[in-house]
Amino acid sequence: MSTLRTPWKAAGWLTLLALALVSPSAHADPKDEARRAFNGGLELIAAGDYEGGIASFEQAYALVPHPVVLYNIARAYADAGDYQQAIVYFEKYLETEPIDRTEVEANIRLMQSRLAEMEPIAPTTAPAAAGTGTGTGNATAEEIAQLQRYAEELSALADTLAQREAAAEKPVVVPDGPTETGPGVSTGPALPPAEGAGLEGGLVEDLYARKVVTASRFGQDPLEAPAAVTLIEREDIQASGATTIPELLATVPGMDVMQLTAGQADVSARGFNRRLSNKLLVLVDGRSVYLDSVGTTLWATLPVTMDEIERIEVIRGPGSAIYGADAFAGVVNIITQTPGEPGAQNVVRLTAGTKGTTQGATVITGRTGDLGYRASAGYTTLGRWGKEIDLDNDPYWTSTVANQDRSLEALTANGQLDWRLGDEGFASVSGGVSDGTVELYSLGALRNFYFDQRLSYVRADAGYGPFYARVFVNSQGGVVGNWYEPAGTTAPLNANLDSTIADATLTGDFSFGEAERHKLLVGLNYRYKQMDWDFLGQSPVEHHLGGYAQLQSRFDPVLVNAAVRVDRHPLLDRPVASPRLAVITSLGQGKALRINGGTAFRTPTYMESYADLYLSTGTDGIQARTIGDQSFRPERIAAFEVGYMDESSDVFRAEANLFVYQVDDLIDLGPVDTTGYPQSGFDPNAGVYIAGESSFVNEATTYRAAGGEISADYFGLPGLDLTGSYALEFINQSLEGQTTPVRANPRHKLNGQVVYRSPFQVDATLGAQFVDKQVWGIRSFDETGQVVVTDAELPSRVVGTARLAWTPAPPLTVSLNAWNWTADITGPTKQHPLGQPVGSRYTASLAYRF
Amino acid sequence: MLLLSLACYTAPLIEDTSSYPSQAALSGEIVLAQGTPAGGPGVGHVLLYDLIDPPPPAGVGSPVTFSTVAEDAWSYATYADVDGVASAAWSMTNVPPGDYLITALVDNDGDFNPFPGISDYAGGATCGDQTGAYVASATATGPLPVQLERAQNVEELSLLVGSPLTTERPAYVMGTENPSFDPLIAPDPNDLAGTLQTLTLRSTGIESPLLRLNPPTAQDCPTLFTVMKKDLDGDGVADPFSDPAVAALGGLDMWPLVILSYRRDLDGNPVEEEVITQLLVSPFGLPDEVPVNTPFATDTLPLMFLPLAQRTNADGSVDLLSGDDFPRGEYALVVINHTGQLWTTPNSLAELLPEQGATVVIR
Repeated sequence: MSTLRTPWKAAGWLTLLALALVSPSAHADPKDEARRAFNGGLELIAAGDYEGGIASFEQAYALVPHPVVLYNIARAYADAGDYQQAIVYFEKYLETEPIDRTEVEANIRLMQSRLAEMEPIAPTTAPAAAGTGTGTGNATAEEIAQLQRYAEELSALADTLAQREAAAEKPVVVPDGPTETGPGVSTGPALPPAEGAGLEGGLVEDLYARKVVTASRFGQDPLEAPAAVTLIEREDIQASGATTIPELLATVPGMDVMQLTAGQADVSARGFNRRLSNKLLVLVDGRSVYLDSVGTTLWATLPVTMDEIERIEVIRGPGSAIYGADAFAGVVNIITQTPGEPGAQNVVRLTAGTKGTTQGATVITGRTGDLGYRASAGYTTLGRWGKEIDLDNDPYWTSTVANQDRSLEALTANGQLDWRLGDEGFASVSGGVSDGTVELYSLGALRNFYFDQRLSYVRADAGYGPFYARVFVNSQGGVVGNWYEPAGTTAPLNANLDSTIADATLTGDFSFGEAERHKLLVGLNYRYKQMDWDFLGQSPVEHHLGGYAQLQSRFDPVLVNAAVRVDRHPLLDRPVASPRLAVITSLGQGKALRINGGTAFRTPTYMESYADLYLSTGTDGIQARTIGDQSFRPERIAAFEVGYMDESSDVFRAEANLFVYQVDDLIDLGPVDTTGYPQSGFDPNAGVYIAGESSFVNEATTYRAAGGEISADYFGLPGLDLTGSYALEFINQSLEGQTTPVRANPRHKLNGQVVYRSPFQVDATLGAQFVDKQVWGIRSFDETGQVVVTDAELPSRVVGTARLAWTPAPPLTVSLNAWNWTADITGPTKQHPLGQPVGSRYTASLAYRF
Repeated sequence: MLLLSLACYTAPLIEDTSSYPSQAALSGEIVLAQGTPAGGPGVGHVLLYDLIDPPPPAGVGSPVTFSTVAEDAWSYATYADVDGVASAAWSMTNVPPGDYLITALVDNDGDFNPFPGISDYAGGATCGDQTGAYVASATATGPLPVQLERAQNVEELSLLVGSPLTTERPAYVMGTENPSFDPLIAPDPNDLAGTLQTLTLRSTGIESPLLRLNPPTAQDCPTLFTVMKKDLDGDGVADPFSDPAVAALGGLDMWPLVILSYRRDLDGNPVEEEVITQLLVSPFGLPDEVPVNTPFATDTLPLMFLPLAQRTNADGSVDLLSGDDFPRGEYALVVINHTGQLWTTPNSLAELLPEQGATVVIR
């Protein structure tokens, strides 16, 4: 009997599983679902189905609460004549402290007065005198007046319906979303004037829309961005379980991410990655966090917690036309939550895991009237992937680093205050600090370094109408030096660092022409840099100037975006111009073809310009001197790209890009030049003999790259998001007529991810990244102090990720995360030949969001 | 608590011997116990030699590594009841395990340079420099062996250097242009005049943009050869040469040590064989009254060729070669004084001073 039941049992379980998967309660990306519901509501209301439309709006609100949805519900009720419900929802909307409070309150008063007028007049018991009262006889003057007002109301409602039908055929002018140039201001209702029933405002459209601000310095649909853009939104961050930003960036098609230590990841876009990668401009809310000392970004020390990130915008390709120097291979803009933003949550999160992982974060945000606030604090430790030396058993080596098992310890704090100044203005002040120690791998023959650092910033923004101003000051201080030194060495390699970067930007954003089809952005930028660093031969002060202009013109279905920026660098003999041109053609709703080209440049860092330090050659009595050069040409990249994006479907999104690059004048450490040095004898300043000088030089090599990326997201199955991407790139180098491939660049990269959100408050994510093999040339010194280069092979690798999250009692969420769990199968693998073998990391998190 | 316990972590050991080779380190001090020059000590050098390739005067080895002590690192204190003795701390890292000899050199006139291509003429002690050095010992003189093992940190090595040298390096020119010897001609005691092949070196000052030995201005140490008859057995009589056949010819055990080292074959191709032969200081030109163990300064150095060579094989074994087996070709010549100061031709000064490019040819 049992054998007969078994198939039925299996069928029963499968049925239950299928039901679970397709249960209407299961949902894909909440924002995508909310967007679909919201847009569906608009369509229903446009068709006259107010009840259906309101229901859709309510569904959207349940998925991703946003006060503007409350406004739309209220407005829909009002348009449908149900003033009581309209007032209820308008009052809910007012509780969110919107900027259009005055208009909404006026609407409420209007509707209240109409409700009062519409209350039925109680019949009298006494027979009315002729012409003087109500009854079955003649109407009174008051009754007649009331009836007339009813008629007017009905007529007005009819007009409203007619106008709305006509308006559905016209394009709606959508207000721009939050910009990188300032803290986001809550999106309010549409700007068109009052219509129909005499209420001010109208239904808001285009809510939950994906917006990008980094490509053009103003909010725009990704379909209209003049560059290849990837958005990593808050929901994506939470679903990934990532504990660091580079872990997220590794999932972006075309991005190169390699970890050398647990505390250091080097990130580039479309090749040219290296130790202390310097080809990517990284911003936090538009503020540069690029380190001018060595030109890299220390991701682990950024004073921002993962929990306060609203989204990360990744622009692949040159960005100097807007951002000037150092936006060479791309731009990463980490955009934090707007203080008091609707839907923003307070968070307390604790994470602990293997490999010495601990992370704590708290974010408090809110709004009081026109004042929004956000404060955050975070603490992170990451254990080292490995120790190269057993100091307890090797008396030859010593280290000044107290904790030999820890790669990163960082304490961060951040605060921001935003004020709304009427309808057109805002002001903001913010500041933050990061303090701790990070392990990183340096350049050339150098290996592990430690950096005891403190980063801090203060910032002020203000905007009114089309004008915007921003000032920030970044300060960095600390000590950097060799992680390990031979015991008894008389010349340890370490240095004090103290730098200040101050930046001021003024922009104007003007729209003009029919339907504001032209948008002109102009800006001026000044940057002050000063640095004291023991590795430098001087303490220079630099003054940088830049001016940019961008014109976007719409000639439906074509959008043209032309931009140019001119920068003056004190060490470059002439200003650098970086142009960009993009033509975006709409191929129908949600589809666009982009053709764009432009140039970018990277300026020499302080190390490259002013270095003066002595490095060991392996013989204590001989060192090689490394010096900077102040006569560089900037690194240059010229790019041409074709991209296609399809967001026409509610269940599918796809993107494809093809690109070609040429890169010239890369700056690197040159060979040791012994001219004059051996004969010069003992150097009393260095206390040793100098084998020669190695200087940073512009390479004579020209690099040419060609490649492409395709990515697709499918979220048509309830509860299930499928994401995949593939990137292919060839880079060749040409020198003196000889062309050879650059083997240090991975030719193939693949990413895939599945996210499942079940109806049982359990979410699961499974992902994998494949990076192709590489061959790197490693520089070292021989016994005579000359540089030798040897090949080091790096096999391909797969990084597997997984996350399981359970919300047993909202707002509490428990999650288990596994990063690089594939290393437990293959063994830890290096992501750079000189880096530490990267292993797996398993963490458990408790998050309370309220 | 579970979450916190997961955070306790000891990183695994991932030995990276290429980036962090586990070597040995040494440290100690240089002590100028035998005197300090008037202007204070110059730059100190601690030199490490492979035990099997010792420095002069015991051999002609070059240091495998060295470290330096700057002039401003010297301090003065009492040492062995003597006040004002200069000393300075030194350290040396990145030394592979092995057996070494350790010495020190204080370059008081600033003409020392250890770089390949220069050290052949500037890599030695000149007049006024202080050398010798030995690990502190009541009886030892000269460099002593140091055995180093992996991950060993040897500290407190005191290197005592001698008093400032009063001899210059034995720079020379050859008395004969393109001298050559025939190993088939053996000296005949009955016909020494016809069979003894000789070569005379003439001491010379060197003045070039790169080196100044015995400059025209007044100098305490003229460039001369310091010939010394050895009497190691203390019998008051000069010791004969170790080879009886040579001794029968009148050969004595004398300083300087003069070595020919095989460099190229007759076609000019560099050779890999390690072959040397010794030229003896001829006693026939020296005054008889020169006492033993006493340096005698002379500006000419008469040398005798012995047709016997020594080849060191890869396994360390030694073959004696003579007659037809004697390798033919160009040989470098090095003169080593009893002080350890030496001079070699050819050397890098040949670009400026052609006579410094001279070799001896064996045909």
